[in-house]
Amino acid sequence: MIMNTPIVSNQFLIKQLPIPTAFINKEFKIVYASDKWAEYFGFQNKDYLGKSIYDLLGNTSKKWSNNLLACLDGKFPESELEVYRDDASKESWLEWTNTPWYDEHENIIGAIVQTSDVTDKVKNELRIEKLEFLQKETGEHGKIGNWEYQKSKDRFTCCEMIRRIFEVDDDFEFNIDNSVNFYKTGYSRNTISMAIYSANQKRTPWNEKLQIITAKGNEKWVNVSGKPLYKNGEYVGLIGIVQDITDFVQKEQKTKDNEHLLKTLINNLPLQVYIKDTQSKKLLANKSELQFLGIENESDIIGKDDFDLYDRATAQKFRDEDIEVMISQIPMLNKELTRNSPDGSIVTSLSSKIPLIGENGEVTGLVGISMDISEQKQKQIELKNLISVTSSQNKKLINFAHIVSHNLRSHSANFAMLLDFLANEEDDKERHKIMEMLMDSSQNLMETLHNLNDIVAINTESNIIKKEINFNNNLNAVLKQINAQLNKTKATVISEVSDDVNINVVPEYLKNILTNIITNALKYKKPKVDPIIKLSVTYVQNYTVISIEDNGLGLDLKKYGSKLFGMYKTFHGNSDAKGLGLYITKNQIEAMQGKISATSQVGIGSTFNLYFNDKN
Amino acid sequence: MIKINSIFIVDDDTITIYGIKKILTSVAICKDIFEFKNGQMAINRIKKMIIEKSELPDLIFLDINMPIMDGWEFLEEFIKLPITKKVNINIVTSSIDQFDMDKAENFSSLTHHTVVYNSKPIRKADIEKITAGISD
Repeated sequence: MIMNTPIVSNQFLIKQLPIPTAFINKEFKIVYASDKWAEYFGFQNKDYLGKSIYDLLGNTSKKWSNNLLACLDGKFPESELEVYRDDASKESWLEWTNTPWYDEHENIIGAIVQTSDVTDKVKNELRIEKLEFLQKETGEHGKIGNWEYQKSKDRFTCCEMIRRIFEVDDDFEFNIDNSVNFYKTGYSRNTISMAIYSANQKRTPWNEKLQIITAKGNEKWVNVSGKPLYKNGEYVGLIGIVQDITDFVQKEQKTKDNEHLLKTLINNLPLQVYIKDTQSKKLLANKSELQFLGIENESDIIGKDDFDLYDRATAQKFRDEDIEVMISQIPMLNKELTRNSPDGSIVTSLSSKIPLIGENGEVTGLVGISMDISEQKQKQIELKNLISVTSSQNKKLINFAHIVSHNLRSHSANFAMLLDFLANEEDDKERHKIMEMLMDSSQNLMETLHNLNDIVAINTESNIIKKEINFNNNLNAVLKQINAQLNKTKATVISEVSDDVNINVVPEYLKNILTNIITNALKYKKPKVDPIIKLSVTYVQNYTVISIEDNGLGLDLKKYGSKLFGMYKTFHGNSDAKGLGLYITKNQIEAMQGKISATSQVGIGSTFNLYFNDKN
Repeated sequence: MIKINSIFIVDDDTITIYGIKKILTSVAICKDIFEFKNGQMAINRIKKMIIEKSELPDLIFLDINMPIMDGWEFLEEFIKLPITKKVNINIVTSSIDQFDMDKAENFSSLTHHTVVYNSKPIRKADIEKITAGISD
């Protein structure tokens, strides 16, 4: 039942109210409602008058009910903001304003319930709140401050962070000029000045990494960005942010410095250094490595493997090593490898491979260090050769000195003994005999000295001059000289060497050598056999080999081989064997960078092979 | 004068042989003096003597540097021979090399024969001392 029914004109006015409004009586039943109200809550064309507002709206809060009750008591409660969900569960923010409803006698007859949808407003407020929070937190964590310049008021405003970055007091007032002056003179100040100018004139934004000097005199790196603001095409000011990136820049610089140091170190090591991934592809190569491989830029080698750089066999060997090191996780250290390089030279390198192990213990690749030791190796060989030459010369010298002293001593011992006898001998015949022996001894000594002198001459002749001469011509000259001996022994000399064979020798030495060996063959002939001496030629790697074969006594080389070319060694009982001939022969051949060897069989004969060096 | 039955002189130098013989005959009565130009000839004779069971030398003068078989090679063969008699071996050489002296010393320790090292020139006093040792 509706009490104090209002006049009809009022009803029309209420219907047309622009704000959703409902009039309810003390029993909470709708008396009037604006069309907007019906529309908002979805009651158009429905019979809502006289129905309880609680029934109509369903879920209302306790707070709202109390609020409504307060109105009926004549109070004016404040507006309430509440979430309202309709039947479709659509969420809206509603602001409820409930006021008491009076009749003309100032009696409360109900309440006027007005609603306005503030969803958009609430959402905007929330968004702003969120943004402010994010901006503040971002600013705090990222040391980012913001500022704004309003041209109309010529006012410069900034956040707290800006003051902290520039280390200014709270009462410091920024303006365009003094803020520019914080920037370090030179590049930084010029850049910021130009940026602001361009923003003014050309509407360009800016983003630069610059240095400032704070109010307290500290130097800082900052990232500054900003842009001009326009309203209706008219310049109204500037907005921007400043980020303190000092820590970052310093860390970056330190990293750069470390990297530079490491790079310089690696590049200037006299070792080849490289890093490979698990597929043996190169990730890094230093200067030495590039030089060794003949590659100019590091970028040309990155991503390549040994199969791209070496021959297949070598690459496979390297890959096998890589796999071994990466699987076993045991470094391969100072392994020497000799191989042929494509240009034909022999390369010896000493290389180490160390597995690279990641944080989780897995192998991520390897570091290789290798050194080209070809030159050292070559020098080592040369040194070894030199030592061998020196030691053989030294041995020769000791041997020579020993023999000389032994020989001279044996002569002087004879002199001493004979002179001793002579002093005490009274028998004339005996004295005469002793005198003869002294003469013989003296003669022998002279001869010995002469021979020794020859040997010294051969060994000390520093510039041996070799000539290419015809072999048979020189052989004939020698045979002519010893013709008498040849005839006496009824010897036959056969040269199987053809007449066009030339050899590179010192002519004097060759004559001496041939004379010695041929006369030796005559000396050691078999008693009742006419000697036959055969000469032939063969060629062995840089040497022309003349072989001289006889049918003489032969010699047990197992027994005497080591002494054959020694000084004063004779092997047959012949009285004219002085044991010097072969020693001199050997010395002369060696002086011409050649060598001599012999084969012999007792009772069959001997063959001497003379190796004449074609070069040198 | 001391009497010595059999003496070997093994040397390829005729002057040394002459000298040793000359001194020997002046200090002792020597029944037989045999000369050999090298070790091979001397060892052959000794082997023959062993087979024939004839008297072996009491005293051997031995040169080192000789053709065919030198003094050392002779000694090596000699000490292997089945000779019970103590033979007095005197090395007479122009070498004064310590190495040769040590080698002689070594041979001495390997055999019951006496091996003595003498440097040339050999003098009367040396021979007297050697022959004196024989008669003992």
